[in-house]
Amino acid sequence: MEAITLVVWATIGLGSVVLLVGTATLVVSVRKQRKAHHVEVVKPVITAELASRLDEDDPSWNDWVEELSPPEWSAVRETGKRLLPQIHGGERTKLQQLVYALGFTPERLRNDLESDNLYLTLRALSWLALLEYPSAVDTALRTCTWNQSVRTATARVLFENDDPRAKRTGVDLLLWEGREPLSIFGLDTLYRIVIRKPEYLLSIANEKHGEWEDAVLIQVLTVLQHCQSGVSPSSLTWILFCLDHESPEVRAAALSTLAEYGWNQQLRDAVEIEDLLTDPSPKVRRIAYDVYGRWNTNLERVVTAVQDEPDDLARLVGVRVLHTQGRQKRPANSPEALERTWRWVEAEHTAVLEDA
Amino acid sequence: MTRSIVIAEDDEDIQQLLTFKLQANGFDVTTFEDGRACIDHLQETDELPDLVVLDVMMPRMDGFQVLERIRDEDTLADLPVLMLTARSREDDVVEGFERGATDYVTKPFSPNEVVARIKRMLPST
Repeated sequence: MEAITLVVWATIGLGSVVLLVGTATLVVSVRKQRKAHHVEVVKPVITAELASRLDEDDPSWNDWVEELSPPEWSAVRETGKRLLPQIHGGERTKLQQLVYALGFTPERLRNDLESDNLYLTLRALSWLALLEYPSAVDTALRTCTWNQSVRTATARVLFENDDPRAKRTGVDLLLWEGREPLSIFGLDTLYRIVIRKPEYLLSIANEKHGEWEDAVLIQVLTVLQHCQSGVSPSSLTWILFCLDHESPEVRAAALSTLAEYGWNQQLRDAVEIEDLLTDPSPKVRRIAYDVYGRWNTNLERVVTAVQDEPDDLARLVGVRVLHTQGRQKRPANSPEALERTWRWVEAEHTAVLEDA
Repeated sequence: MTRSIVIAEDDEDIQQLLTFKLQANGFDVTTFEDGRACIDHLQETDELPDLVVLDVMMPRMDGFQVLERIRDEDTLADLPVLMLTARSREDDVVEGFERGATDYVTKPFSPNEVVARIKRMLPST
Protein backbone atom coordinates (compact mmCIF):
# COMPACT_ATOMS: atom_id res chain seq x y z
CA MET A 1 0.00 0.00 0.00
CA GLU A 2 2.79 2.36 1.01
CA ALA A 3 4.57 1.64 -2.26
CA ILE A 4 1.44 2.57 -4.24
CA THR A 5 1.07 5.82 -2.29
CA LEU A 6 4.68 6.60 -2.98
CA VAL A 7 4.19 6.00 -6.71
CA VAL A 8 1.07 8.21 -6.74
CA TRP A 9 2.88 11.05 -4.97
CA ALA A 10 5.90 10.66 -7.23
CA THR A 11 3.63 10.83 -10.29
CA ILE A 12 1.87 13.92 -8.95
CA GLY A 13 5.26 15.53 -8.17
CA LEU A 14 6.65 14.73 -11.58
CA GLY A 15 3.46 15.90 -13.27
CA SER A 16 3.64 19.20 -11.39
CA VAL A 17 7.24 19.73 -12.46
CA VAL A 18 6.36 18.99 -16.10
CA LEU A 19 3.37 21.33 -15.88
CA LEU A 20 5.50 24.08 -14.33
CA VAL A 21 8.26 23.74 -16.92
CA GLY A 22 5.68 23.61 -19.72
CA THR A 23 3.90 26.72 -18.46
CA ALA A 24 7.18 28.59 -18.03
CA THR A 25 8.27 27.61 -21.55
CA LEU A 26 4.93 28.75 -22.93
CA VAL A 27 5.12 32.09 -21.11
CA VAL A 28 8.69 32.70 -22.31
CA SER A 29 7.75 31.73 -25.89
CA VAL A 30 4.71 34.00 -25.92
CA ARG A 31 6.75 36.90 -24.55
CA LYS A 32 9.50 36.35 -27.10
CA GLN A 33 6.92 36.09 -29.87
CA ARG A 34 5.25 39.31 -28.76
CA LYS A 35 8.59 41.07 -28.58
CA ALA A 36 9.53 39.82 -32.07
CA HIS A 37 6.13 40.96 -33.33
CA HIS A 38 6.60 44.45 -31.85
CA VAL A 39 10.04 44.69 -33.45
CA GLU A 40 8.57 43.69 -36.83
CA VAL A 41 5.81 46.28 -36.50
CA VAL A 42 8.18 49.19 -35.83
CA LYS A 43 10.91 48.04 -38.24
CA PRO A 44 9.74 49.75 -41.47
CA VAL A 45 9.48 53.13 -39.72
CA ILE A 46 12.80 52.62 -37.96
CA THR A 47 14.61 51.57 -41.15
CA ALA A 48 13.24 54.59 -43.02
CA GLU A 49 14.35 56.90 -40.20
CA LEU A 50 17.75 55.20 -40.12
CA ALA A 51 18.20 55.62 -43.88
CA SER A 52 17.18 59.26 -43.61
CA ARG A 53 19.66 59.94 -40.79
CA LEU A 54 22.43 58.15 -42.69
CA ASP A 55 21.95 60.77 -45.36
CA GLU A 56 22.52 63.64 -42.93
CA ASP A 57 25.93 65.09 -42.10
CA ASP A 58 25.17 64.76 -38.40
CA PRO A 59 22.77 61.89 -37.74
CA SER A 60 22.59 62.75 -33.98
CA TRP A 61 22.51 59.06 -33.06
CA ASN A 62 22.78 59.60 -29.31
CA ASP A 63 19.65 61.77 -29.21
CA TRP A 64 17.76 59.31 -31.36
CA VAL A 65 18.83 56.23 -29.42
CA GLU A 66 17.77 57.85 -26.13
CA GLU A 67 14.22 58.26 -27.42
CA LEU A 68 13.82 54.68 -28.66
CA SER A 69 11.38 52.26 -27.03
CA PRO A 70 12.74 48.73 -26.36
CA PRO A 71 11.24 47.23 -29.58
CA GLU A 72 12.56 50.20 -31.58
CA TRP A 73 15.98 49.76 -29.98
CA SER A 74 15.98 46.07 -31.01
CA ALA A 75 14.88 46.98 -34.53
CA VAL A 76 17.72 49.51 -34.82
CA ARG A 77 20.26 47.00 -33.54
CA GLU A 78 19.06 44.29 -35.93
CA THR A 79 18.95 46.61 -38.93
CA GLY A 80 22.39 48.03 -38.12
CA LYS A 81 23.84 44.56 -37.78
CA ARG A 82 22.38 43.46 -41.10
CA LEU A 83 23.46 46.59 -42.99
CA LEU A 84 27.02 46.80 -41.67
CA PRO A 85 28.47 43.93 -43.74
CA GLN A 86 26.75 45.18 -46.88
CA ILE A 87 27.72 48.81 -47.11
CA HIS A 88 30.91 50.79 -46.95
CA GLY A 89 32.03 54.35 -47.38
CA GLY A 90 30.67 57.27 -45.35
CA GLU A 91 27.45 55.46 -44.48
CA ARG A 92 29.38 52.61 -42.93
CA THR A 93 31.29 55.00 -40.69
CA LYS A 94 28.00 56.53 -39.58
CA LEU A 95 26.51 53.08 -38.92
CA GLN A 96 29.49 52.23 -36.76
CA GLN A 97 28.84 55.40 -34.78
CA LEU A 98 25.24 54.24 -34.36
CA VAL A 99 26.41 50.91 -32.98
CA TYR A 100 28.65 52.82 -30.57
CA ALA A 101 25.63 54.91 -29.51
CA LEU A 102 23.70 51.69 -28.88
CA GLY A 103 26.31 50.83 -26.30
CA PHE A 104 28.51 48.38 -28.18
CA THR A 105 31.71 50.28 -27.39
CA PRO A 106 35.25 48.85 -27.55
CA GLU A 107 35.36 48.80 -23.74
CA ARG A 108 32.16 46.79 -23.50
CA LEU A 109 33.28 44.34 -26.17
CA ARG A 110 36.65 43.91 -24.46
CA ASN A 111 34.88 43.11 -21.17
CA ASP A 112 32.61 40.60 -22.90
CA LEU A 113 35.57 38.99 -24.66
CA GLU A 114 37.29 38.51 -21.32
CA SER A 115 34.27 36.88 -19.72
CA ASP A 116 33.92 33.12 -19.62
CA ASN A 117 30.31 33.31 -20.78
CA LEU A 118 30.07 31.71 -24.21
CA TYR A 119 27.04 33.78 -25.27
CA LEU A 120 28.62 37.12 -24.32
CA THR A 121 31.92 36.18 -25.96
CA LEU A 122 30.32 35.07 -29.23
CA ARG A 123 28.07 38.13 -29.30
CA ALA A 124 31.09 40.39 -28.80
CA LEU A 125 33.00 38.55 -31.54
CA SER A 126 30.07 38.84 -33.93
CA TRP A 127 30.03 42.62 -33.40
CA LEU A 128 33.78 42.77 -33.66
CA ALA A 129 33.63 41.16 -37.10
CA LEU A 130 31.52 44.11 -38.23
CA LEU A 131 33.30 46.96 -36.48
CA GLU A 132 36.78 48.39 -36.53
CA TYR A 133 37.99 48.15 -32.94
CA PRO A 134 41.66 47.05 -33.23
CA SER A 135 42.22 47.04 -29.47
CA ALA A 136 39.32 44.65 -28.99
CA VAL A 137 40.71 42.37 -31.73
CA ASP A 138 43.94 42.15 -29.73
CA THR A 139 41.90 41.20 -26.66
CA ALA A 140 40.11 38.51 -28.67
CA LEU A 141 43.41 37.02 -29.79
CA ARG A 142 44.61 36.92 -26.20
CA THR A 143 41.49 35.50 -24.58
CA CYS A 144 39.25 33.82 -27.15
CA THR A 145 40.89 30.48 -27.70
CA TRP A 146 39.09 28.37 -25.10
CA ASN A 147 36.75 26.45 -27.34
CA GLN A 148 36.31 25.72 -31.00
CA SER A 149 33.39 28.00 -31.74
CA VAL A 150 35.15 30.90 -30.01
CA ARG A 151 38.40 30.22 -31.92
CA THR A 152 36.47 30.02 -35.19
CA ALA A 153 34.72 33.31 -34.50
CA THR A 154 38.07 34.94 -33.63
CA ALA A 155 39.56 33.71 -36.91
CA ARG A 156 36.55 35.15 -38.71
CA VAL A 157 37.06 38.49 -36.97
CA LEU A 158 40.64 38.58 -38.29
CA PHE A 159 39.42 37.80 -41.79
CA GLU A 160 36.56 40.30 -41.77
CA ASN A 161 38.87 43.01 -40.43
CA ASP A 162 41.39 42.33 -43.22
CA ASP A 163 43.89 41.76 -40.43
CA PRO A 164 47.22 40.49 -41.82
CA ARG A 165 47.32 37.97 -38.96
CA ALA A 166 44.42 36.08 -40.56
CA LYS A 167 46.68 34.09 -42.90
CA ARG A 168 48.73 32.57 -40.06
CA THR A 169 47.01 33.08 -36.73
CA GLY A 170 43.59 32.66 -38.32
CA VAL A 171 44.57 29.32 -39.83
CA ASP A 172 46.15 28.22 -36.53
CA LEU A 173 42.99 29.12 -34.63
CA LEU A 174 40.84 27.17 -37.06
CA LEU A 175 42.94 24.03 -37.23
CA TRP A 176 44.22 24.27 -33.64
CA GLU A 177 45.65 20.82 -32.90
CA GLY A 178 43.91 19.15 -35.82
CA ARG A 179 41.75 17.04 -33.52
CA GLU A 180 38.30 18.58 -34.06
CA PRO A 181 36.70 18.86 -37.50
CA LEU A 182 35.80 22.40 -38.45
CA SER A 183 32.21 23.59 -38.35
CA ILE A 184 30.65 24.75 -41.63
CA PHE A 185 31.36 28.31 -40.49
CA GLY A 186 34.97 27.33 -39.76
CA LEU A 187 35.37 25.63 -43.11
CA ASP A 188 33.97 28.67 -44.88
CA THR A 189 36.35 30.92 -42.94
CA LEU A 190 39.33 28.69 -43.75
CA TYR A 191 38.36 28.78 -47.44
CA ARG A 192 38.02 32.56 -47.46
CA ILE A 193 41.42 33.01 -45.83
CA VAL A 194 43.22 30.40 -47.89
CA ILE A 195 41.84 31.38 -51.27
CA ARG A 196 43.71 34.66 -50.83
CA LYS A 197 46.79 33.42 -48.99
CA PRO A 198 47.29 29.64 -49.22
CA GLU A 199 51.04 29.53 -48.45
CA TYR A 200 50.83 29.10 -44.68
CA LEU A 201 48.18 26.36 -44.80
CA LEU A 202 50.26 24.49 -47.37
CA SER A 203 53.36 24.77 -45.26
CA ILE A 204 51.71 23.43 -42.08
CA ALA A 205 49.83 20.78 -44.01
CA ASN A 206 53.12 19.55 -45.41
CA GLU A 207 54.52 19.36 -41.91
CA LYS A 208 51.53 18.20 -39.85
CA HIS A 209 49.03 16.41 -42.07
CA GLY A 210 50.05 13.08 -40.53
CA GLU A 211 49.03 14.32 -37.07
CA TRP A 212 45.59 15.58 -38.04
CA GLU A 213 42.37 13.64 -37.59
CA ASP A 214 41.11 12.22 -40.89
CA ALA A 215 38.08 14.53 -40.88
CA VAL A 216 40.32 17.62 -40.54
CA LEU A 217 42.67 16.40 -43.26
CA ILE A 218 39.71 15.83 -45.59
CA GLN A 219 38.46 19.36 -44.89
CA VAL A 220 41.88 20.85 -45.68
CA LEU A 221 42.06 18.83 -48.89
CA THR A 222 38.58 19.99 -49.83
CA VAL A 223 39.53 23.63 -49.31
CA LEU A 224 42.64 23.18 -51.45
CA GLN A 225 40.52 21.79 -54.28
CA HIS A 226 39.15 25.29 -54.68
CA CYS A 227 42.33 27.32 -54.43
CA GLN A 228 43.95 26.53 -57.75
CA SER A 229 45.02 29.98 -58.84
CA GLY A 230 47.13 30.82 -55.80
CA VAL A 231 48.71 27.42 -55.22
CA SER A 232 52.02 26.27 -56.61
CA PRO A 233 51.73 22.58 -57.57
CA SER A 234 55.16 21.92 -56.06
CA SER A 235 53.70 22.69 -52.65
CA LEU A 236 51.19 19.86 -53.03
CA THR A 237 53.53 16.89 -53.14
CA TRP A 238 52.53 15.92 -49.59
CA ILE A 239 49.09 15.08 -50.95
CA LEU A 240 50.66 12.25 -52.95
CA PHE A 241 51.37 10.49 -49.64
CA CYS A 242 47.66 10.81 -48.76
CA LEU A 243 46.86 8.55 -51.73
CA ASP A 244 48.28 5.71 -49.61
CA HIS A 245 46.33 6.72 -46.50
CA GLU A 246 44.48 3.92 -44.73
CA SER A 247 41.19 5.83 -44.85
CA PRO A 248 39.41 5.57 -48.22
CA GLU A 249 37.75 8.95 -47.51
CA VAL A 250 41.17 10.58 -47.25
CA ARG A 251 42.43 8.82 -50.39
CA ALA A 252 39.31 9.98 -52.25
CA ALA A 253 39.70 13.58 -51.05
CA ALA A 254 43.41 13.55 -51.94
CA LEU A 255 42.72 12.28 -55.46
CA SER A 256 39.92 14.83 -55.95
CA THR A 257 42.29 17.59 -54.92
CA LEU A 258 45.12 16.40 -57.15
CA ALA A 259 42.66 16.10 -60.03
CA GLU A 260 42.16 19.86 -59.87
CA TYR A 261 45.88 20.44 -60.38
CA GLY A 262 46.22 17.99 -63.27
CA TRP A 263 47.16 20.88 -65.54
CA ASN A 264 50.61 20.56 -64.00
CA GLN A 265 52.41 17.83 -65.91
CA GLN A 266 54.87 17.06 -63.12
CA LEU A 267 52.13 16.55 -60.57
CA ARG A 268 50.03 14.56 -63.01
CA ASP A 269 52.93 12.25 -63.73
CA ALA A 270 53.49 11.70 -60.02
CA VAL A 271 49.98 10.32 -59.47
CA GLU A 272 49.90 6.53 -59.95
CA ILE A 273 46.44 6.71 -61.42
CA GLU A 274 46.49 3.12 -62.73
CA ASP A 275 46.91 1.77 -59.21
CA LEU A 276 43.91 3.80 -58.07
CA LEU A 277 41.66 2.05 -60.58
CA THR A 278 42.12 -1.08 -58.50
CA ASP A 279 41.74 0.67 -55.12
CA PRO A 280 39.57 -1.37 -52.73
CA SER A 281 37.27 1.63 -52.21
CA PRO A 282 34.60 2.14 -54.92
CA LYS A 283 34.59 5.85 -54.09
CA VAL A 284 38.29 6.14 -54.92
CA ARG A 285 37.80 4.15 -58.12
CA ARG A 286 34.92 6.43 -59.17
CA ILE A 287 37.15 9.45 -58.81
CA ALA A 288 39.98 7.63 -60.59
CA TYR A 289 37.74 6.97 -63.61
CA ASP A 290 36.71 10.59 -63.61
CA VAL A 291 40.35 11.68 -63.45
CA TYR A 292 41.16 9.49 -66.45
CA GLY A 293 38.49 11.34 -68.36
CA ARG A 294 39.64 14.77 -67.27
CA TRP A 295 43.30 14.09 -67.90
CA ASN A 296 42.50 12.08 -71.00
CA THR A 297 45.18 9.52 -70.22
CA ASN A 298 45.41 5.98 -71.47
CA LEU A 299 41.74 5.23 -71.97
CA GLU A 300 42.58 1.62 -72.87
CA ARG A 301 43.17 1.10 -69.17
CA VAL A 302 39.61 2.32 -68.44
CA VAL A 303 38.22 -0.02 -71.10
CA THR A 304 39.87 -2.94 -69.30
CA ALA A 305 38.97 -1.78 -65.81
CA VAL A 306 35.23 -1.35 -66.44
CA GLN A 307 35.05 -4.98 -67.60
CA ASP A 308 35.69 -6.18 -64.07
CA GLU A 309 34.35 -3.21 -62.13
CA PRO A 310 32.09 -4.61 -59.40
CA ASP A 311 30.62 -1.27 -58.23
CA ASP A 312 27.65 -0.09 -60.33
CA LEU A 313 28.28 3.60 -59.81
CA ALA A 314 32.03 3.36 -60.47
CA ARG A 315 31.31 1.38 -63.64
CA LEU A 316 28.81 4.04 -64.69
CA VAL A 317 31.40 6.80 -64.22
CA GLY A 318 33.94 4.75 -66.19
CA VAL A 319 31.57 4.14 -69.11
CA ARG A 320 30.49 7.79 -69.14
CA VAL A 321 34.15 8.77 -69.37
CA LEU A 322 34.63 6.45 -72.35
CA HIS A 323 31.54 7.83 -74.05
CA THR A 324 32.53 11.43 -73.48
CA GLN A 325 35.98 10.70 -74.86
CA GLY A 326 34.52 9.26 -78.06
CA ARG A 327 34.72 5.54 -77.23
CA GLN A 328 31.11 4.90 -78.07
CA LYS A 329 31.42 1.44 -79.51
CA ARG A 330 30.29 -1.21 -77.07
CA PRO A 331 33.09 -3.74 -76.43
CA ALA A 332 32.34 -7.24 -77.71
CA ASN A 333 31.67 -10.07 -75.23
CA SER A 334 31.22 -7.75 -72.26
CA PRO A 335 29.86 -9.07 -68.97
CA GLU A 336 26.13 -8.52 -68.44
CA ALA A 337 26.68 -5.75 -65.86
CA LEU A 338 28.81 -3.80 -68.31
CA GLU A 339 26.29 -4.33 -71.12
CA ARG A 340 23.58 -2.93 -68.88
CA THR A 341 25.65 0.10 -67.93
CA TRP A 342 26.62 0.71 -71.53
CA ARG A 343 22.98 0.67 -72.64
CA TRP A 344 22.12 3.13 -69.87
CA VAL A 345 24.86 5.57 -70.93
CA GLU A 346 23.79 5.25 -74.58
CA ALA A 347 20.25 6.13 -73.51
CA GLU A 348 21.54 9.13 -71.55
CA HIS A 349 23.49 10.25 -74.59
CA THR A 350 20.43 9.90 -76.87
CA ALA A 351 18.28 11.86 -74.41
CA VAL A 352 20.82 14.69 -74.37
CA LEU A 353 20.90 14.77 -78.18
CA GLU A 354 17.10 14.84 -78.33
CA ASP A 355 16.93 17.70 -75.81
CA ALA A 356 19.43 19.68 -77.85
CA MET B 1 10.76 63.89 -66.37
CA THR B 2 11.22 61.55 -63.42
CA ARG B 3 13.44 58.55 -64.14
CA SER B 4 12.25 55.20 -62.89
CA ILE B 5 14.31 52.37 -61.44
CA VAL B 6 13.34 48.78 -60.71
CA ILE B 7 15.21 47.10 -57.86
CA ALA B 8 15.15 43.34 -57.35
CA GLU B 9 16.79 42.62 -53.99
CA ASP B 10 15.65 40.13 -51.36
CA ASP B 11 17.36 41.89 -48.45
CA GLU B 12 14.67 44.18 -47.10
CA ASP B 13 17.11 46.56 -45.41
CA ILE B 14 19.26 47.04 -48.48
CA GLN B 15 16.15 47.41 -50.60
CA GLN B 16 14.82 50.11 -48.31
CA LEU B 17 18.16 51.92 -48.08
CA LEU B 18 18.62 52.01 -51.85
CA THR B 19 15.01 53.08 -52.35
CA PHE B 20 15.48 55.95 -49.92
CA LYS B 21 18.72 57.04 -51.58
CA LEU B 22 17.31 56.89 -55.09
CA GLN B 23 14.09 58.64 -54.16
CA ALA B 24 16.12 61.36 -52.46
CA ASN B 25 17.91 61.77 -55.80
CA GLY B 26 14.63 62.19 -57.68
CA PHE B 27 14.06 58.67 -59.01
CA ASP B 28 10.81 56.71 -58.97
CA VAL B 29 11.56 53.31 -57.47
CA THR B 30 9.70 50.01 -57.73
CA THR B 31 10.99 47.10 -55.69
CA PHE B 32 10.74 43.31 -55.86
CA GLU B 33 11.93 40.70 -53.43
CA ASP B 34 12.68 37.97 -55.95
CA GLY B 35 13.72 37.62 -59.55
CA ARG B 36 10.54 36.00 -60.78
CA ALA B 37 8.33 38.89 -59.60
CA CYS B 38 10.75 41.34 -61.20
CA ILE B 39 10.77 39.70 -64.64
CA ASP B 40 6.98 39.21 -64.52
CA HIS B 41 6.58 42.92 -63.88
CA LEU B 42 8.98 43.88 -66.68
CA GLN B 43 7.18 41.62 -69.14
CA GLU B 44 3.74 42.90 -68.23
CA THR B 45 4.27 46.60 -67.68
CA ASP B 46 3.44 49.22 -70.30
CA GLU B 47 5.98 51.64 -68.89
CA LEU B 48 9.46 50.21 -68.84
CA PRO B 49 11.86 51.54 -66.21
CA ASP B 50 14.97 53.45 -67.21
CA LEU B 51 17.22 51.00 -65.40
CA VAL B 52 17.12 47.74 -63.44
CA VAL B 53 19.17 46.91 -60.35
CA LEU B 54 19.52 43.17 -59.78
CA ASP B 55 20.93 41.36 -56.80
CA VAL B 56 22.61 38.10 -57.85
CA MET B 57 21.41 35.92 -54.98
CA MET B 58 17.63 35.94 -54.88
CA PRO B 59 14.92 33.36 -54.27
CA ARG B 60 12.82 31.82 -57.06
CA MET B 61 14.93 33.27 -59.86
CA ASP B 62 18.44 34.65 -59.37
CA GLY B 63 19.81 37.86 -60.85
CA PHE B 64 21.64 36.07 -63.68
CA GLN B 65 18.46 34.32 -64.80
CA VAL B 66 16.55 37.60 -64.76
CA LEU B 67 19.35 39.27 -66.72
CA GLU B 68 19.28 36.47 -69.29
CA ARG B 69 15.54 36.85 -69.73
CA ILE B 70 15.89 40.62 -70.11
CA ARG B 71 18.54 40.25 -72.81
CA ASP B 72 16.48 37.58 -74.61
CA GLU B 73 13.38 39.72 -74.99
CA ASP B 74 13.34 42.28 -77.77
CA THR B 75 11.33 44.79 -75.76
CA LEU B 76 13.63 44.59 -72.74
CA ALA B 77 17.00 43.87 -74.30
CA ASP B 78 18.26 47.45 -74.25
CA LEU B 79 17.52 48.09 -70.58
CA PRO B 80 20.62 49.09 -68.60
CA VAL B 81 21.20 46.59 -65.79
CA LEU B 82 23.31 47.12 -62.70
CA MET B 83 24.23 43.91 -60.85
CA LEU B 84 24.87 43.72 -57.11
CA THR B 85 27.33 40.92 -56.32
CA ALA B 86 28.92 39.67 -53.11
CA ARG B 87 32.58 40.49 -52.52
CA SER B 88 33.43 36.85 -51.95
CA ARG B 89 32.10 35.90 -55.39
CA GLU B 90 34.33 37.67 -57.86
CA ASP B 91 33.36 35.09 -60.51
CA ASP B 92 29.87 36.58 -60.45
CA VAL B 93 31.27 39.78 -61.94
CA VAL B 94 32.62 37.90 -64.95
CA GLU B 95 29.43 35.91 -65.33
CA GLY B 96 27.36 39.08 -65.06
CA PHE B 97 29.28 40.79 -67.84
CA GLU B 98 29.15 37.67 -70.00
CA ARG B 99 25.39 37.63 -69.68
CA GLY B 100 25.09 41.28 -70.59
CA ALA B 101 25.21 43.33 -67.38
CA THR B 102 25.87 47.01 -68.03
CA ASP B 103 27.75 47.53 -64.78
CA TYR B 104 28.20 45.91 -61.37
CA VAL B 105 28.75 46.89 -57.76
CA THR B 106 30.19 44.49 -55.21
CA LYS B 107 28.86 44.24 -51.67
CA PRO B 108 29.72 45.84 -49.34
CA PHE B 109 28.99 48.94 -51.34
CA SER B 110 28.51 52.61 -50.72
CA PRO B 111 24.90 53.62 -51.44
CA ASN B 112 26.24 56.94 -52.74
CA GLU B 113 28.42 55.03 -55.22
CA VAL B 114 25.40 53.05 -56.43
CA VAL B 115 23.49 56.27 -57.03
CA ALA B 116 26.48 57.80 -58.84
CA ARG B 117 26.84 54.74 -61.06
CA ILE B 118 23.14 54.71 -61.86
CA LYS B 119 23.28 58.38 -62.85
CA ARG B 120 26.27 57.68 -65.06
CA MET B 121 24.53 54.74 -66.74
CA LEU B 122 21.49 56.77 -67.70
CA PRO B 123 21.70 59.00 -70.75
CA SER B 124 21.39 62.65 -69.73
CA THR B 125 18.21 64.38 -70.74
